[in-house]
Amino acid sequence: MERTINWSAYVLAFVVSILVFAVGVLLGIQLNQQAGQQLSEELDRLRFQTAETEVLALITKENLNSSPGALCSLYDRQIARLNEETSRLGQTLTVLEASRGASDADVRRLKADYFLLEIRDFLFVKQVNRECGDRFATILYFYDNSGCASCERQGETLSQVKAGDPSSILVYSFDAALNSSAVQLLRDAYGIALIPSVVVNGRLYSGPQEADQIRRALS
Amino acid sequence: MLELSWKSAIEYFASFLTLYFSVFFLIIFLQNRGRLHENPRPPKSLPSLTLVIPAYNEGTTLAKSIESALACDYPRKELEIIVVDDGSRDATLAIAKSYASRGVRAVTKKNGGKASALNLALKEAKGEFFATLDADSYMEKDGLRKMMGYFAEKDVGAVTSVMKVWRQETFWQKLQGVEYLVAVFTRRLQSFMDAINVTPGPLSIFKTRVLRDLGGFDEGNLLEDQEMALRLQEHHYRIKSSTNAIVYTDVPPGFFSLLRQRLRWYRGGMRNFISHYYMVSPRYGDFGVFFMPFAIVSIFVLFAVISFIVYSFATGFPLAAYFKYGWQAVVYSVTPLQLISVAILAFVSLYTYLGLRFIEREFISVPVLLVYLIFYTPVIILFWAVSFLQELLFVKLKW
Repeated sequence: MERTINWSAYVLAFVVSILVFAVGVLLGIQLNQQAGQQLSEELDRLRFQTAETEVLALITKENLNSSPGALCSLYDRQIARLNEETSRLGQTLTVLEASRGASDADVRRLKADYFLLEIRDFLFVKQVNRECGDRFATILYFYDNSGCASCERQGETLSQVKAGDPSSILVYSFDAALNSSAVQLLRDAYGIALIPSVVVNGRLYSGPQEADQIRRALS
Repeated sequence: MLELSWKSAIEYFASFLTLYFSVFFLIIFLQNRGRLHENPRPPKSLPSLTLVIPAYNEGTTLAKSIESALACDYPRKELEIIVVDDGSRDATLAIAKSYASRGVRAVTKKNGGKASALNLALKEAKGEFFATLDADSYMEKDGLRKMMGYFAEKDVGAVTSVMKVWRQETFWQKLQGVEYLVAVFTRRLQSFMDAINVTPGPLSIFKTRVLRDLGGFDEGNLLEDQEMALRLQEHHYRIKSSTNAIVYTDVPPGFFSLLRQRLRWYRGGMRNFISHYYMVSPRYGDFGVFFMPFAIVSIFVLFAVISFIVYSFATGFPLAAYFKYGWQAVVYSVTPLQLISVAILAFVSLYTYLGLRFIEREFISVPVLLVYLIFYTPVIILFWAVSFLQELLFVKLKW
């Protein structure tokens, strides 16, 4: 039998495959870049809103005709809204990290930026609590995505607790493995040695905490 | 930009191979779509043919196989039917002997495997052609006659049939029904390139002289029907694929019986391809430059990796992200590899659909197609991976 080789089929298949492959790769890179850019823009927007809230507060304080109640109402509205948007952004960052990996450069940069925003929000809320009475409960949550078996469970527990009173319970999550000097300072300030750990209304609770334990700490 | 680790480089490479394979077969389909259903007319005067039914403990199905052979429209005076009992412990031999008055010859031997049973019949066969029919398979009346037309072509050593699943009662049998049809389609496309790599036991016809020249079936082989096809290819005999000679075969009804069957098939297949490594050569045309290398490469479970990647889009992270975080999260979590996987899934779906339309010529329901593609195909690839591991670890094969 005379053997033949269907070279045209191999070449055509190669060309089509390369084209499809290239489109897939380029589209994927484009979507990835777009995703990173969108998150950066979202962070910028939240940073602006935080600054706006701070300025509104300053203006309100300066306005001698406004009552303390007006200032605290402003804080109630702005902080609840900001915290909701910050949480949403945090979830999106979680998705991005799970998809691209914790060592992805974009992920690390966005997380560092996000944590600075969270710390700024947290400090602002502390000031609000001083001025308006303890209107907001704060939970600082330190976790590590690499090799911390109980961290995911702890994150879910905190979501459950927050769901009980989402406008008053504010959770700020920090990845202890990220090389962020601001996060490190915060850890040092509260004496965080064990991961996961939570700081509820300024009080440290080391190791994983059950939902009931956290609710008792909040009450 | 795209960051590549060793792991993702391997995933991209394996994805490309899978994509290439799917596209290639679609191109072969397009190149030959005008002659997909062409079958040569059988000769007016049909030559002598020995039909062999090897059987081992097939008491429940043998009678039906023999009846189907007796009912066929091949001229009775040219047809010799031999049932070889391979040392069965049930009523197989008694059943075979009960057909003596209808011209069926029953021979018995000590248990030695299907290949040894076929070789015994080959020694005694009087027919110019030698057909194998499994004892759990039932051919249509005109199957043998229709296949004979191919032997008019030069250098044809064997002809295969259209295998369909007989009983499709259980969930697993229905999926195997789809699988067998796609396999027939693939074999038909391979025949256009003289690249068929198996002459299935349920119903195949060989030239008796060719089988004897090649020394008969390999008695130590797990998959003697595939090994014979490789030997036919090695000696440059054509293997043709009939599209209108139909044989129905029983298939495993459940998961574990299917697994046992596939472990034997895939381990046997791996051993055959590795032992014929020298056929990776342009000397064997398309079979040597594409099908053999591809068969050997696929042994190394690259396609187990691919199935994980391909089906992760449909069943894994982006869907979970959608339900938890909404549509935007899907956009954030899609990677280039997942997009390529979607393309692979699309090509494979198209190929499967074409295959089913080719054989059944009926509308195939989307749910059946989806279950086959998304659930059954990864299960089969998982079986392949288990087979590879068992071969690697020299695990004893249990029949």
